[in-house]
Amino acid sequence: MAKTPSPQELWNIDHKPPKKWWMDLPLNIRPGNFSYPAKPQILKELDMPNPRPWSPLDEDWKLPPNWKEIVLEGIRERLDKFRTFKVFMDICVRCGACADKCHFFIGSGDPRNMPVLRAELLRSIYRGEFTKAGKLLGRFGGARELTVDVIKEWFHYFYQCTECRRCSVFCPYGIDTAEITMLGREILNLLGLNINWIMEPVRNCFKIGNHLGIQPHSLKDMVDFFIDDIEEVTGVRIEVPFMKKGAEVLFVTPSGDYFADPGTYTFMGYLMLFHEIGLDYTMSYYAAEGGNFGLFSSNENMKRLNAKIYAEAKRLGVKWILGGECGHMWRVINQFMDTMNGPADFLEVPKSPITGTVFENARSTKMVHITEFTSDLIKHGKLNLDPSRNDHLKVTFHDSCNPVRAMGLLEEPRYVIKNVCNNFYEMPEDTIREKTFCCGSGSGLNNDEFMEMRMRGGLPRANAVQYVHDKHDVNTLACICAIDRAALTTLMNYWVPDVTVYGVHELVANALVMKGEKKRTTDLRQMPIPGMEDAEDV
Amino acid sequence: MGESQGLSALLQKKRADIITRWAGILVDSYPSGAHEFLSNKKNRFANPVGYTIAKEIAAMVDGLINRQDIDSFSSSLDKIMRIRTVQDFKPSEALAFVYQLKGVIRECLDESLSDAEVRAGLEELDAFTDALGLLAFDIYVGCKEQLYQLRVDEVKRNTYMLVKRAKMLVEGPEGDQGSRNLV
Repeated sequence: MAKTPSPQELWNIDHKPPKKWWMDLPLNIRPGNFSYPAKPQILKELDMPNPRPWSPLDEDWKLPPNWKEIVLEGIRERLDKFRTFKVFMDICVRCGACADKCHFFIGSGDPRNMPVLRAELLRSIYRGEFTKAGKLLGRFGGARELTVDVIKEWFHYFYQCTECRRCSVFCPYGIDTAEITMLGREILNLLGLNINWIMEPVRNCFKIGNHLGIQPHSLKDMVDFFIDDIEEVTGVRIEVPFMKKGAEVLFVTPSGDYFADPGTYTFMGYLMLFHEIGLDYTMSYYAAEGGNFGLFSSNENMKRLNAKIYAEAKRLGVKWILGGECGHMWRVINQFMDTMNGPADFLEVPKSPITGTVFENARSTKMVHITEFTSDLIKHGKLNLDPSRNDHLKVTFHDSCNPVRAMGLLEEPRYVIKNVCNNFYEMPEDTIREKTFCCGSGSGLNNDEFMEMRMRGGLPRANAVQYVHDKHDVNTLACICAIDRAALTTLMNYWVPDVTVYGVHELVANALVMKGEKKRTTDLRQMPIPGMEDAEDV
Repeated sequence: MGESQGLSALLQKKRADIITRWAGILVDSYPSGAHEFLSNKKNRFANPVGYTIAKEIAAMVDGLINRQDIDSFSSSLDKIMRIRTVQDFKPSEALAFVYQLKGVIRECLDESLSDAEVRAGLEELDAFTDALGLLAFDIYVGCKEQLYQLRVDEVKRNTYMLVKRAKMLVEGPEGDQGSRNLV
């Protein structure tokens, strides 16, 4: 019979992971910590390389026989093409300013989630293969050889970065680690290493018009449901124009707003607002997606998805474009659109037809963020608002990474919220505005198989929400991004279950007093408004 | 918990040492590259994991000293286990720190272990630690079950409009949002 260990022996078991240099740490890929690979058919339809069935759990990832050559050529081509890539590979002095700023490192304690080390995954190969110093010094100089295990490590960690760019805020050299992730993913795509949650939306958006692949007749039906729901809540019947040539404004929003709760209520909010101010606008089935998952796979995919919006604006003959509450759409618009598909000189500099305000900041892209548009309406007294309808909500605001860090949208959403809600509380300083913490699910990682990772990545954000919940009894988390609305709902359920997620324009619509409306007794979710219920509901 | 007053007084005397060692075990369970970050940062927003470890381990050690009921440990254990459930630990690795408390206390009380009263108290404390381990196991499994539920809820939310359009939903009486409010 085996000897039973004594308690003394048992508590002497060493539970510490072995001390190893990062290059020697084992790779731990297991169900729950990776996203499923793209389906071969989808890659074929997008003309993407190496479509085949494979799994990260397999030993053999079925790479092309000349995979090494492809990767090295891919790096070489991008070093020539993107000056930023070359600079970012060369100038990092490993000062460590970024190391503890990543939500995935903070939530996991995995050193390879430190932005500097995530970049080193690629930089070590750059040094080893492209620099003399690296070739001479080898590991001592932070260089290493390109092997299949390195490729696997890239896949695991470049699909663990949400491209939120919080780390870049702290980098004294301004290195944009998100761009290193983007390039890492581009190179992985050359080998057919990508995830379905990104590539299927890219394919759907490219071929059908939106991430989910909702066809025009289905989208029309969905919008009709919303029109019915709005009438039930407000008594006002509205119309939603589609494919209207010659409209003044093309409205583009992420498809998450019309197929998934709670984004649907935000979508209803936009529609009510446009009806109330009599905006001459149109939506499009062809450009029915503000989101751009191309950003998360390759610059070529990003370009062709972004081009659809501008091609449709030209075809419909609108003057300018209004964009909904989306996150990464605004990074594409503000940082890449002009050089990819611009200049959009067939459009006019956006001017609000209601207030006459010219949006000079959108002079180049011709695209205005809806909170800029709405805050301007409020500033000019064009909306009749009753914020007391939101009095049961104690609200805090999550700055979505891309609008805040890629376009500097800081005040407008706050201004709107403070005008439609009476109870607003900020989260702690280091967790908002430019230093906001990511929801943990951005850049195409908001799939359900990645749930554990998303919960750990979202911990710093949830932790700050927990603080204002404990201190001020905050029960509402407002945000301006479709991925946030979906991801934060789940994140709150796990970490701070008493907090509900709202889009800003849902809050606007609840407070909006519409001409000809009936007495509001319920909010857009058709839940009774405390103090305003029907007698039978009380 | 009914261990002797004498042991309580000893634990009180060694409180800081016990907290440091027990929290150290939790920190050491992470890869070495994260130790400095998890131990040194006390900013609760920049380092929620390190902050939670420091705060909740101290609360539990105080609970042991004050011989509190096991239910009063639920909140602290939940905060630690909720984090460890979603990190890269096997279930046994996530829970091990609870049982390692036995070793921590013995190390801290080394010179007093020959005292019969202390040894008797330690036996009771061991049984209590075992019960804490079971509580931590319940919390771990509860968190895992919640993760599975969250996955299901997301799928439901993402497909609600499509299912509704396909007229596959049976709505409740007027005003009742039926299944919509369930997800």
